[in-house]
Amino acid sequence: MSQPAAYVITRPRLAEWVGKLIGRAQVIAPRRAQGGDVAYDIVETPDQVAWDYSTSINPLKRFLFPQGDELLRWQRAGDDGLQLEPTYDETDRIFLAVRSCDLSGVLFLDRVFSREPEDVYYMTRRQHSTLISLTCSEPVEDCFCVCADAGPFLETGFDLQLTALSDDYLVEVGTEKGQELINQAEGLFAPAPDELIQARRDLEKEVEARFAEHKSYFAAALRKVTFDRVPDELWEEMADRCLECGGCSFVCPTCTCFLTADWQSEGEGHRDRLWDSCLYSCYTLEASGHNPRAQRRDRVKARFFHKLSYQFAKELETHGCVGCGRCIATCLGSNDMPTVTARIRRGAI
Amino acid sequence: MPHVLTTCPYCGCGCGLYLQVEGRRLLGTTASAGHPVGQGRLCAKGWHAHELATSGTRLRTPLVRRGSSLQQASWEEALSLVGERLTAIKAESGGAAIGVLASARATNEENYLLAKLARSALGTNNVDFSARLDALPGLFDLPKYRHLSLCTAGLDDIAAADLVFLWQTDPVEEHPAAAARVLRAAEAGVPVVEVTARRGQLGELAQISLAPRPGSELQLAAGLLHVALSKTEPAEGDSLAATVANCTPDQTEAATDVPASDVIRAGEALAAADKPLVIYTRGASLGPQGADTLMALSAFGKASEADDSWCSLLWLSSYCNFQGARDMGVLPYFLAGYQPVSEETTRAKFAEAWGAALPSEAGLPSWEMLGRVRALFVMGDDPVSSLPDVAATRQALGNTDFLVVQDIFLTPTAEMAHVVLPGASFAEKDGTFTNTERRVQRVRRAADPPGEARADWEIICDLSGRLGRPMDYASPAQVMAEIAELVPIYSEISYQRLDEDWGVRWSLDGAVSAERAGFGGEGEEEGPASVSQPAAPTVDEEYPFVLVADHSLGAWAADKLVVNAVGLRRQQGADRGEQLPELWMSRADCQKGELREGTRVRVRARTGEMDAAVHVSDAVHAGAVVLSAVMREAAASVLPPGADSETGVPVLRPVAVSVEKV
Amino acid sequence: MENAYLPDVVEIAAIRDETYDTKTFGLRFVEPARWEAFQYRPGQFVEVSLFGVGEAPFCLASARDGADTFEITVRGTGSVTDALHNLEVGAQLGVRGPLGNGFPFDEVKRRDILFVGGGIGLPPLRPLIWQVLNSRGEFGKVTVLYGARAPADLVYKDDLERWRARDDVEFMVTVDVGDESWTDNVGVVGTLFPKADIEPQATVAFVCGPPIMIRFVVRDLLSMGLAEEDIYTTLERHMRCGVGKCNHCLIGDKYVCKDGPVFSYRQMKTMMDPG
Ligand SMILES: Cc1cc2nc3c(=O)[nH]c(=O)nc-3n(C[C@H](O)[C@H](O)[C@H](O)COP(=O)(O)OP(=O)(O)OC[C@H]3O[C@@H](n4cnc5c(N)ncnc54)[C@H](O)[C@@H]3O)c2cc1C
Ligand code: SF4
Ligand code: SF4
Ligand code: SF4
Ligand code: FES
Repeated sequence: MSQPAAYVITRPRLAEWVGKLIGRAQVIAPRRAQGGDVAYDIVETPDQVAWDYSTSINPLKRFLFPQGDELLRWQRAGDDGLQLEPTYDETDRIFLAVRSCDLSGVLFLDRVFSREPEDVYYMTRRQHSTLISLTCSEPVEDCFCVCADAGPFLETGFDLQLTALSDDYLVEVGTEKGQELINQAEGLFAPAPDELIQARRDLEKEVEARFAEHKSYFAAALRKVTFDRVPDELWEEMADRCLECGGCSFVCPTCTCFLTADWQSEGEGHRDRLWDSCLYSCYTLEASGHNPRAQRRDRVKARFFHKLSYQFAKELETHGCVGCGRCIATCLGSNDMPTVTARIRRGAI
Repeated sequence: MPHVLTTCPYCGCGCGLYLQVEGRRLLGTTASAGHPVGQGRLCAKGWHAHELATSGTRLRTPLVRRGSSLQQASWEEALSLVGERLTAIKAESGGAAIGVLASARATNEENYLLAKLARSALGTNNVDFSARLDALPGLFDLPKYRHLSLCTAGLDDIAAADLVFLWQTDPVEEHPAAAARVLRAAEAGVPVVEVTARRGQLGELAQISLAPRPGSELQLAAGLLHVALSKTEPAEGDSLAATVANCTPDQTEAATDVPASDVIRAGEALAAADKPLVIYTRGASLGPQGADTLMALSAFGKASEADDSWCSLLWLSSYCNFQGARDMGVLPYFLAGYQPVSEETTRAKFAEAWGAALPSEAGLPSWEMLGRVRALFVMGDDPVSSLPDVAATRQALGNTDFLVVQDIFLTPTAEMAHVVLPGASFAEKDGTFTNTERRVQRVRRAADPPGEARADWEIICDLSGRLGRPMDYASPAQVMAEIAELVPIYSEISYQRLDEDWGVRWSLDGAVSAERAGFGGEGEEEGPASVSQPAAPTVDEEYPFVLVADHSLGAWAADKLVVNAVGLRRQQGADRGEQLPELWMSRADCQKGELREGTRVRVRARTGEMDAAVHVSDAVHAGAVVLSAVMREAAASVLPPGADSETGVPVLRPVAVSVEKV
Repeated sequence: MENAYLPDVVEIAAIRDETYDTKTFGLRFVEPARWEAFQYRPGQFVEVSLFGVGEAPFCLASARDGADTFEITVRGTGSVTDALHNLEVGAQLGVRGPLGNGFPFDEVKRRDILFVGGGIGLPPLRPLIWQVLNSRGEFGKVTVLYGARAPADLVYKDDLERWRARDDVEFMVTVDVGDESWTDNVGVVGTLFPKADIEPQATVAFVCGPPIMIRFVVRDLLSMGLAEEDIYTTLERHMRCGVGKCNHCLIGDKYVCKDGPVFSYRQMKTMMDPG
């Protein structure tokens, strides 16, 4: 890119810019919901963006691969003539102020859904999205992106990356699409002076040092899972601690299990796809009644094989965890990722 | 706001969740991190809650019976028919000929309005809900049991407890939000004592697992009390110690098959505990000797080191608004707020507010109402699925001159109706639910009802007008304002107040948010009057097994709100269509009888027989065979519905059976 | 972008009763151009849509020959399969495919070929058997062994007769339990091995059927001396998408729908939990 890759924007102008973005596309940003929880959500005015949030309760996949999503509709005209029509979502979306781990989660989904054959529903939404991330300067209790190589600062993957620096925001450009957004906002951005770029680098170092205590020991767990060196008794004990809520799959930015369901009423109907969880007992149930993973132990094992084996890590460029920490908060039992990797590493509960 | 905070519509825990909305479309469900019940977690049901609203099987238009089939009709046709028929029946036979069943899953406002309609417009106190059998019903009228029919402790007491009993309940199946807390307590080293014929998942973490012969739970409770009390000096005139004086560990072993050493271990743990907590559900109350067993459990606190501020009983309801339905006067003998219909001053207060004279005679409970009333109006209740005697219930409904069912799905009860009115799901209306620990919480409208369906409170208002008692409310908030006026325990509650926090817990003495003030039942800590012989059936060579109906097991599979949510339906294996009832049997017994997983067997009792498919289980104790209570229709001939001798409440008793390969 | 989830519309052209619970459906694409594009190999499968009920995978049970239809053979066991059984000729369905990898063909030319089918396991083998027979000269000895629970469970009775009638195929059939009119072999399919003339090193075996049958047959074949990589079988798993996205069919890191459903025993052995 010939233009400078970093800009600066003042806080008041940032709000002005967000207002413009809202005029142009659906803007999804951290927003405080009734009760005080922060969720990525559609914002209608700039002041709804919760810039000071730590984490959101939902991953971005809710918008790119929704929990309940229509795939196609049909109509029966008379006796014959079945008309099928796929349902694509071509809404332009700008994801604003998303955390690095969540953006890394989207990049992971990109790899999953762009594998042959491409998932056109996801890819269509993705082509209509812009990702503007916000770096993290405060470690949050539950997250461990450093161990997952998914933050707190990103090198690539974003269209724009924002970093809050005392008075202003530093804006790094990651793609043409990002540059485009800057170009369209005449006068709001100024090229970033070198000191500011340096300040961002210093901040990154300092933050990484502070994040270092937040750990999940992936390397050892990866080795043991890959070579099937986790004793069955340990899987069994973890299975005792899974209450089959499915929450870990649903909050995880990288999980993609789904099932499909049809609805029909008088000559027309639609097919939806719905999130599923590989920990549910009937996930692999066959019509005959045979269930290859009837034991919860085998389901827990399959889940963590999917997340933590070299086989998948190789194909998807990284293991299936970006360190967002959501499963820690949401596991009804006690099988969140850091606990599981620690158990596997120690070989005991 | 695109994320709408609301309350889970399934069990009585009342976890907080957000419905994700785009436009008016429901996209999904997210757990609320800050919510005090869910604490960022939901069980599978909660995570799929939006699916029940978006289900393609929802009722979308009113239906009216023409000949043998239910056919689509307009609201005008359906409601005027209901208005005319109810008016006519009232005129012919009086209000007492009409019964009204409201709902453990409708909002407080709707339950309040329907009870109001029943009493003011129809002139009947036959107001109840069949799901009330979830607790030990009928007891609330007996002052000595009062503390047993309300949840006195709270969910967070599980974290505070230093000894947890799981008494005939499997929270993993029934109350996952409670299970999550028990699991954490167990992991932190708190001893868990499981009392059950079928070990639940938490049993794996339990320190003591007691398997009394089904039907001898009262004797086990008495045995534990005996051990615990023998550690302390009996107080002057202590009737409890005298009651359990003969329940020595050896006696207890003889009565229950629980080894005396286990009775001593568990009893000593109880004696030493500062904060013992007994978690129980309908599994305990709907068993034989349920009332006495609960009385014994209520004395556990006294037998321990707990002081007066600690409440040792945690009763959990299976329905999101079980508590609220009762609070709102969906009871044959109480107006809202447990104000007796028999009291003249109470009636006068309500009569003035409602502008109508109210009937003074107590009404009939659901299980007696059916078959005795000529017309029945049912909102969000499903007696066919809730009452123990399915055949009798169907027969009674079939004999009803006029049956109206207002629901969101075509339930087995609705299938029999003359008129079906499509209501709104929890996601499509405003209101409140009161959870099992008396926490009143908001339910918020996030989407529109499907087709022509309408919010239930609107339907009731419309109908009341047609019955000559116009109801004029702009919103459920206004209904709540009226409730707060008339119902002391809700006097502090308003939507504004609820919006400011995660809900408000009420207590009997009006001290809102006081955790446990005001529940002293007269019989509290007294224990049962006596410990009778076990109600366990005698096994012999001909009938060597004891068959138990397990209320925790597979309870989901019978739940309309579950099987109509796609993900949960798949999870029930319900896609596979009708299957034989599963009979859980211990591995040892299966080996002896050469039975394998899925083997078709005939279960014979003295009263009849049924076929089932064997499920080989490590969770069931030898000698016991377990059937999900939801299978009771198929099992009716071997598990004949009976009634509790003291309360008249229908219960399912364990029976001796034989099991043979077909 | 091609939409991998969007079915093509097909019409039921013919229905044939195979057994009391199994029917074969001849399906014809409504758009002839889509039929042109529908080139498949034996062992591949399709996801069949009954709009309003759901989708289920079925293997392609006929070889692609001159006709403009293809066949699937369906046993009624659940929501989609039962609903399918209630349809009549002319009804419209959706089809996605062909999906999956299919059996090796060119790779096994000049070898002896042994087919072992159990019950509803014959449909995936049927097109391969015909394909081999249609290029009979390019293969060594061809043996077809077929077993079912009872005579009433045998499918493709016409094909069975035609195979029996040929002298370039060794064909044997057996049932677990016979009836009065049954005069042929009785016993599990493995009991046919000693009667067949199999030269282990020269043979490639294709084995399809219920999981336990596969387990026993593979054990027998190995003990006879067949190489692990010369035994092919198809795996069945709960499926939803059929294209490697929904994860239902995963076994370890293998998607049965995409990396399979055909696997050699050598591959299967290394897979995590081939239950
Ligand atoms: C590669 C492959 C090829 C197959 N070929 C044939 C065939 O040629 N003939 C035949 O009769 N059967 C075949 N089956 C099995 C057939 O797919 C199932 O019997 C069918 O899916 C049952 O669907 P249902 O809707 O009737 O059952 P339900 O129990 O109602 O199942 C609901 C859904 O679960 C999934 N499901 C359930 N059982 C299975 C299963 N065994 N395999 C895959 N998905 C399942 C499907 O998505 C199904 O729609 C094959 C399965 C696979 C995986
Ligand atoms: S496994 Fe847990 S911590 Fe890792 S990305 Fe998924 S939800 Fe986040
Ligand atoms: S979140 Fe925990 S309890 Fe729920 S399915 Fe996942 S591992 Fe099991
Ligand atoms: S525990 Fe109960 S309230 Fe909580 S999500 Fe589950 S069903 Fe809903
Ligand atoms: S069926 Fe969906 S991944 Fe294989």
